[in-house]
Amino acid sequence: MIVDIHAHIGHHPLMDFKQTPEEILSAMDRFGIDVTFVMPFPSMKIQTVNDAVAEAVKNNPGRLVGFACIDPMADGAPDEIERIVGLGLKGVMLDPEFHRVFGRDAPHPKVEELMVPCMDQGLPVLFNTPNIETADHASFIVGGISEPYYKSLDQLAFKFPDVRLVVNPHWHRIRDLMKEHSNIFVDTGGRNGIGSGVRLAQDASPTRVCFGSESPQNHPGLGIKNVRTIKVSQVYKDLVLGRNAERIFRDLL
Amino acid sequence: MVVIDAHCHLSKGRGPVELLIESMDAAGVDKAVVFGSGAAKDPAIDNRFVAEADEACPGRFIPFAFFDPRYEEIGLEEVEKYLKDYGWKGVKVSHQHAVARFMYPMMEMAESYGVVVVVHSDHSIRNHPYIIGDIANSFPKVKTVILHMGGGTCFDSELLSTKMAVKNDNIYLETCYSNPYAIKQAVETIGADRVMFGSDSSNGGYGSRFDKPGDYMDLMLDAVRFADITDEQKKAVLGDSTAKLLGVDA
Repeated sequence: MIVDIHAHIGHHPLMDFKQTPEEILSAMDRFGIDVTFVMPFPSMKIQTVNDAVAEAVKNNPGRLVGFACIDPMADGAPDEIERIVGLGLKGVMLDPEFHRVFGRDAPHPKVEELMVPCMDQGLPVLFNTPNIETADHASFIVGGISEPYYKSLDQLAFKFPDVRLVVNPHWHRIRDLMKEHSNIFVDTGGRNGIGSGVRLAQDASPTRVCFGSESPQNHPGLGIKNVRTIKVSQVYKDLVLGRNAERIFRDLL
Repeated sequence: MVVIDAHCHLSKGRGPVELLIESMDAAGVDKAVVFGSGAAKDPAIDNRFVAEADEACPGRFIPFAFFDPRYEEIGLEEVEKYLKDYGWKGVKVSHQHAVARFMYPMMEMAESYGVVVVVHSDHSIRNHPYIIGDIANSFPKVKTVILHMGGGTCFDSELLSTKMAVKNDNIYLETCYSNPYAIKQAVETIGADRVMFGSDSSNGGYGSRFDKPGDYMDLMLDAVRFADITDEQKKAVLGDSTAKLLGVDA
């Protein structure tokens, strides 16, 4: 079984990336992907984009699992969580950069508050992020975003150990964070040219890295081939491509 | 169909040249544009290594001179030696130096010899596609290649590279680390004859992280193969574009 835990539906509000559910399903058929976790791009039109995901999931039961985009800073964010659960969505995506939710030393209190309904509802929280080291490089903020991202995830994982937190392999000090917190998981999104996610599985945590294409920015076919050809044990490749997701997200499938 | 890899490194001390040839053969790549990597302390070492490799493997490599602006006029002399005496067809600018002041005299030299300039790109302020776009805009007669079209670092940098190519007819895009989505967009926006397959392979390096020789290069080829473009466009991107740009047999 191959599970892709990170793909987007819709049209990115800032960049010209777009993808339809039909394009995702076509790629799934072509590359043998059994289940894909779909979510909107980050957005300020939260309900609209979440409704689109809910519609896609409703039309493709068993193949698509829906995540909602939540803006923790928006009024009524907890209410939106309740609404999307009613729509059949099974996870939450936060975009710390787009919605500006991480402070210099800690996540905004509203992010922490949002973890409570996620915990109550058993919703995993996926952080949609750039390659943080790269963002640092380009950042006009002195000191960049690396350390605040590290500290924020560290605190969230510590305070909410029952919430599954998913980030990409380029998160600052991800190896330290995974050693410290068993509720931090990694998808192989971010740039997939040289298999950094799979190597993270081998080096840091074979059981907590899952294949995530982050399409359409990345391509699921290339991502799978990357996992299959990178020089790590076949056992780890199987874990990454599906077995980990089957186990970690059994309640979503 | 000829397949040309427009972005490969050969660096003394990294491994034997045969490692790159082995990858090319396994992945079905006929020729590769090759240049130093900046790993050698002195670019003259890698340039000499590239020249020796070209002599040892006739017909497989298209050598470019490696330019390191830190060496100022000495770096320029090193480049001119290979353009003038060896007839090489291009110049590779070392990482992190697209904004160096010696870029301008180098571009003047490239213009006078009619050669191509290829520049590493990423999302930093030193190698951002917009920086390369500005340089190319100042030298409209110099064909300038944005290596890995800004990709490999940040998603939107590929799209920004394409924007720069729209604004400057002398800009070409090379595909390694990019994805089929960005390649399709580039091809549809600026035409397949200005988009070139590349892998950033070398005599060692990234390829060694994969199971078999050629796996890494093949992965980069798949980025083009998986793109939703016509077979004719794929043929152009995989080899014809580079052949036409550099005046080699397709």
